Amino acid sequence: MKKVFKIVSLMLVSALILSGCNKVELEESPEGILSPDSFFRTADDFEAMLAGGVYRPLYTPWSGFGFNAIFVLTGGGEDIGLNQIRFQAFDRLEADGITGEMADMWAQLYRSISNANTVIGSIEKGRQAGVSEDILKNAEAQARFMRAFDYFYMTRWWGEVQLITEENTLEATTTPQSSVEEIYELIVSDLQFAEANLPNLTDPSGTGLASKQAAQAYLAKVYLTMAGWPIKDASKYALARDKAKEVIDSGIFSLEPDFAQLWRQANRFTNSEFIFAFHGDVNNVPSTQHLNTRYNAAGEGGWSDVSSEVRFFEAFPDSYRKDASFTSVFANGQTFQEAGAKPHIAKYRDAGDVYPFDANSGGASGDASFNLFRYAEVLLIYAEAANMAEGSPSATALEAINKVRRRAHNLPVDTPDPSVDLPAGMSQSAFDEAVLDERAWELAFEGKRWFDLVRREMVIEANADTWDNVTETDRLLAKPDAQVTLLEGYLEQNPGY
Amino acid sequence: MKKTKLTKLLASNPIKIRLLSLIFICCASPMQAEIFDENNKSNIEKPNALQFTVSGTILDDAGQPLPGANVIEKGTTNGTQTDFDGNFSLTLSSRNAVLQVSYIGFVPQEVPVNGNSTVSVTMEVDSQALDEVVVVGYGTQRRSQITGAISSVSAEDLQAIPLARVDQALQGRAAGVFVQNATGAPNSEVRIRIRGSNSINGDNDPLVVIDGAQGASINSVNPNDIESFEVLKDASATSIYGSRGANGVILITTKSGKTNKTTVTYNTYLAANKLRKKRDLLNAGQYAELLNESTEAQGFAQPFTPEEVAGYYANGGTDWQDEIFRTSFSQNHHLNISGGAENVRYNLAGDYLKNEGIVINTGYERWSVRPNITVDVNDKIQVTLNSFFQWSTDKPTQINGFNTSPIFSASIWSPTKPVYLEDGSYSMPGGGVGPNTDFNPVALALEPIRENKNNIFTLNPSVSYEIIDGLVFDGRVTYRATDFENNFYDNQVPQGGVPLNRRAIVTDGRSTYLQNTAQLTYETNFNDVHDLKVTALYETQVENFNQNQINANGFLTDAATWNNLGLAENRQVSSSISRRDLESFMGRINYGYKDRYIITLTGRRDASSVFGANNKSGFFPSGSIAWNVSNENFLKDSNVISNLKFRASYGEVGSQAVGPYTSLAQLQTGSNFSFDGTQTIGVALTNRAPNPNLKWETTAQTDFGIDAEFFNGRFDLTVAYYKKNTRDLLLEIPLAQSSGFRTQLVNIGEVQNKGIELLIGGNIIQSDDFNWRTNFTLTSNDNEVLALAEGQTEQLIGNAGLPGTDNTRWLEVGQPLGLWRGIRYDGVWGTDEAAEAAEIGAVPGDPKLFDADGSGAIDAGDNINIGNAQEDYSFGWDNTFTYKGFDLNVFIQGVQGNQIYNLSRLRTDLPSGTTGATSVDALNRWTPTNQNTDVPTFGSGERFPQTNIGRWLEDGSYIRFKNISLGYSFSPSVLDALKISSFRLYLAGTNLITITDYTGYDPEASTGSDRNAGVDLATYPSQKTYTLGIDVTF
Repeated sequence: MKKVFKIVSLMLVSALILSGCNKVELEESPEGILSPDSFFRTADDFEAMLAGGVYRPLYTPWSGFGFNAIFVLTGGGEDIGLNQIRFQAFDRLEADGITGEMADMWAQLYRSISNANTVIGSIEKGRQAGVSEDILKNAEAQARFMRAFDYFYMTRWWGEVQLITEENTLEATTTPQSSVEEIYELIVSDLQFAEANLPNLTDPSGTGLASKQAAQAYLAKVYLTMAGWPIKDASKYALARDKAKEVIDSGIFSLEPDFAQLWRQANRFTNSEFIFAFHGDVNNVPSTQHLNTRYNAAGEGGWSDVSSEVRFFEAFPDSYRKDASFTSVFANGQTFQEAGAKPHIAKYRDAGDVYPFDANSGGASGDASFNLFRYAEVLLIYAEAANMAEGSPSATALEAINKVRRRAHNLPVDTPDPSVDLPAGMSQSAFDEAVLDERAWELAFEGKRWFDLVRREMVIEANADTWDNVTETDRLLAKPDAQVTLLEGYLEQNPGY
Repeated sequence: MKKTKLTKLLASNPIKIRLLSLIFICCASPMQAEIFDENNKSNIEKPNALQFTVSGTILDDAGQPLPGANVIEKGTTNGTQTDFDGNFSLTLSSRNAVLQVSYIGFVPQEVPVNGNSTVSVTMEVDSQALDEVVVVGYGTQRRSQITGAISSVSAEDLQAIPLARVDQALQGRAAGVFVQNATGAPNSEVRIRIRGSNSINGDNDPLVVIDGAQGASINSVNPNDIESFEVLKDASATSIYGSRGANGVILITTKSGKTNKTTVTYNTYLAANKLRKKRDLLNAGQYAELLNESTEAQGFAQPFTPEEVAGYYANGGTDWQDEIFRTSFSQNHHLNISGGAENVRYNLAGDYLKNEGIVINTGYERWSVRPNITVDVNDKIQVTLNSFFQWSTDKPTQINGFNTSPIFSASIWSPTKPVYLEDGSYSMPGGGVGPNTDFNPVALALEPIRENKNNIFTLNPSVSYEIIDGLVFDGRVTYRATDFENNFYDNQVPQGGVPLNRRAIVTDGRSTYLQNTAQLTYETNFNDVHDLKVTALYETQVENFNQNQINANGFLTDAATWNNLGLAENRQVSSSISRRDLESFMGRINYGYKDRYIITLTGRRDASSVFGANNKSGFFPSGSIAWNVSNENFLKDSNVISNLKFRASYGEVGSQAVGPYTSLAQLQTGSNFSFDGTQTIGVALTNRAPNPNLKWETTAQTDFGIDAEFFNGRFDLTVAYYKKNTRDLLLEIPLAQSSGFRTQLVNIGEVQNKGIELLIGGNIIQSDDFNWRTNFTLTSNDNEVLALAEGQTEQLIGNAGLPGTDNTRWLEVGQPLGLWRGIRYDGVWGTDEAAEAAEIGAVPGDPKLFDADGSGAIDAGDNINIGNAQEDYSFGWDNTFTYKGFDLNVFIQGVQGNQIYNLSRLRTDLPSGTTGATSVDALNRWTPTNQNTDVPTFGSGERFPQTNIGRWLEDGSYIRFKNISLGYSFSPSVLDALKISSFRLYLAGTNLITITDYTGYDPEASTGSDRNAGVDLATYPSQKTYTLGIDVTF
């Protein structure tokens, strides 16, 4: 018995010791982790990097265009008011170099740029792996479109920034910032490449990806911006006009007859007006659109982070469009005046499903879309650029803006109506003023007004009555202090900060 | 001869030792063991018939014969052993030979024969040799030979408090060891810090080694299973664990069978647990009245009519603490069977623990078995199989958070609300009374369900082979597998039951650990004065971890909870896998001269897979010396000082703060995007740049200590001073974001800990009937950040735990970890200070906030260092009194000088909108007639910063009667009649008395540790426990 026990135990221990023989691997070979070296071998690889690396940083929970861009973009414009103390610095044009929302946008834009550079830099790798030229061309065009998109926002917010075009590199730490002209040069060439290589937008459900028309629309907007502050190259008005015309002439887009319906969640993939947008998906893909947040009382139950401003509401001409743009009467029947609140935003009230909170509050993921470019703006760019390029409003320019005005009153878009149409024979300046106003009303809460104020040098004029601290240097944001410190000698803080 | 060759080979070439050891451990088989067995023969030479024969007797100091004593002719290998009666006979080469007589535990003697044919020798007891043996990691040492800082905690001390977990029992028992019961949950987290916190971002938990198996979980060990418990503290002791030893090492040896006699021990207790202390909250009437007042002060309508207020005063309301807390019961059964036959010994322990939580719907249950078997194959080979199996189920609740924590909700919910409405549904938040985004406490406790299952499987076989006298090979394998399954289902009933939001999270996974250790130890004594022990080791460790998680929401029905995720509309799935390899060589030399001067040199080289490609391996050396002054002639005969040792050590030890794959370039997955309302799988560059230079953190430690015993061990004293500098700390430094990365993890920065430890023990009263034994430990640690990243003097860590506290936690050079910044709070402006108050825009009744930058306004510029979570010192004082069959244990423990950020007061003390104050402090708010208070008037919260101010910092010092227990052991006469060998019955009270100014549930509460230590936000409250227990041995 004893002997049996001995043998059994010895065998057991020996077996365990033998089976326990470790093979040590000091070089790591991660089995569940993707390495950049072995990626970009299929079309899907390129699409995945575009989705996750280039687009997603811009529309992601509590960050990017769904959240922080709203505060940065809209704070200084009169269309949007910010109600929480932590965001109000933007409203008051007091945001400084440590403001977190601003710093987040800086980081997310560079993240998107860096991933776009990686896609562009990996084209050759894909070619060697046998990915088709069509796919590669499309991937490069998509990446360059988004890189232009990112730098366009960067230079409008911060002016001179580092222009990084190489694949993901630590050399960025010693690259000096570029002039605004150099940045626009890259933006234009990227958009031209995109225009030449992207397909037409054939299906309204395709607005989530860049198309030839999206590239043209952005080129028009970029030229229009270059004509204004700070580059002030008036020759660009004609280029803006022509690019806008190309979009109009494509025949792909038209104004939705009913302005209110344009903002219904159900119509986001079928309307004839969107050109480029970020589209959320509550199922599985976290994304957020915080402009939908409602008032936090009067039966509304939201965060009330974002609302409109009373001065903007009062200046806004009465119209069908006004009713569809504002929540001036709350769920319990109180007007905003009665509730002692500001008018809130109606455009984005229908936000589809939101998780984990509800549509009133906003959440980490939601169905809501953030429209970035739609046909009405193309019409208004045409009107503005043609008028400025030609010295007076042409009939085409007049018709372009009048289409928008008719739709605002829920009238047939293509039928002239003297009750709302701008008359022929206006002076260049009167027409220009009318176009800028129209842009404010039509594109309210869409993140456009602030940039209009900047490029047309109206920041002081628009805000002086409300915020007496406003100065010319407020046209640019402060660069993130932490980045300026890290890049001392290469990145300079903007004047006034 | 094979053996000799092997020995020579082993002695001559250390690299070959490793190889041989490796080969041996991988290839040992019963067959080879039998071959080695052949060599088990005596070394004694045949006597020459012409020579002289001497015989004699060896006696001990009491005149009793010593059987088995060694008698050797000096200068030869000629020798013999005494027989059962202590007699021997030996043929010598010369009449003038000298006999060397030795016996374990006695001083060796040399006796000249001088031609006598009979010799009688009386041996003297060697007090040093009878020294206690201490486990030191990869071996044992006599206490006198120890040069490092090692605290031994006796098994009896650990068993003094009726607790089923040794980590909880460790508090206050060892100097230099700080133990914090950060929550009172049934499966609570216990934080152990040995000589302070070294690391900012890395782990500060000590390495736990159970029966040689590294990385074991200490909370699974029942104190009754412990044979010995050692804490390695200084570099000399810990550097044998190289890159894993910097945070100190806890060595636990579990019981193994000892005798041929079968012993059955049964330990059990039943305990009742009660909330230690309720927070002082307002009753319904007070709440309603004050809410009316605070809403009015903020310009809102009063929610209650005077009649309603009167009604609440008359009829009362809901005491939410009573609703979610209960008296709960715990029980533990521990059965131990130990014994053995010839050459085989076993110890079999079974344990069952059931802890009900004092929060409704919480509890923890575990079963475990620990079979340890030892087989002596022959005189040379011993085989051991230690195993451990555990099955546990934990039902936790949400703690340390807001919105969904029942404990937090209970502290802020309106007592005017009922638990249930008339239709039987839960009352909901909002409605103009109470908080809007925190939910019904009872609903939060009962509705979301959580069940975390965990199984541990450990096999720990080892073999020990004495190759020649003094040279022992040890081979050990540890295989440990841990399977876990965490289930969570939230029916969203507390939130109103929106079906889309019904969700389940199921996480399951497995970790395995395989450790191979091959070790050679050579121990010898030559010329009677030189003690030498050499240890060489080769070891490999491989850890694998994988987990899968499904996150589902939008359940059609609550009927199947997490058991059928197919009922969910949406499912997000993720999985991960990782591996960590470590290959080590270690060598250690202990040398002692006459047991007076002792030196230990240790070096370990660790190569780890997780380190960056340019820094794959590190070397961790240490050296230490000790002087046993009491063995010097001038103290040898002292009646006062029975032992006195001075020791000093220095060494560098590592910590593997790096996680697997951290140094590599990777693409980040799970970064999906929607282009058209459906999902596109996305990948992206990581935010963190790779770093091929990433490596371990290094702690350089200097240690000085004195160990002393007086009056033959009646009193003992240990004093130690240490200084630890941890450099190459893992810090995330910001990168220019234009690079595409945000940060990079690098080795930079330095933290220092220095401190003093004191241990005093003594048998104060020793008599036949009455004894008083006392032990006092004191630990004082001073922590300081010496350097951060280049050019960086401070770093924001982040949020304390509630919105608005983003700017609270900091690291600053020159300050300790656990630093708080905020605006200093100096009370409330009185009416007589109106002019001064006006300078910063305040009126009497407003909080008196310190305008640090003198700007005339209270703003972000006034943030200064306002406190830190580091304690000045902690202590434990243990007293055991015995009188005849009775024993009384009184254990007092405490901490002094730390601060706690009592974060939940931000909500309980501060009325905001319809969320009224719930704390009774609100009754003491400033009014023109109540000037002498530090509670500001209602409505001042809107005018001044409230979230990040010193008002919420409290002194966390406390003194606690951790344990008072009274036991009675029945006398042998009674036991004989019952045929049992011992029987003890005891009553114990845990946490009965706590002296503290802290106003939260418990001064030990902490949601975070180290740099985030000392924040109390809805932690699981501690308990007073009353225990009835029985220890019986058959």
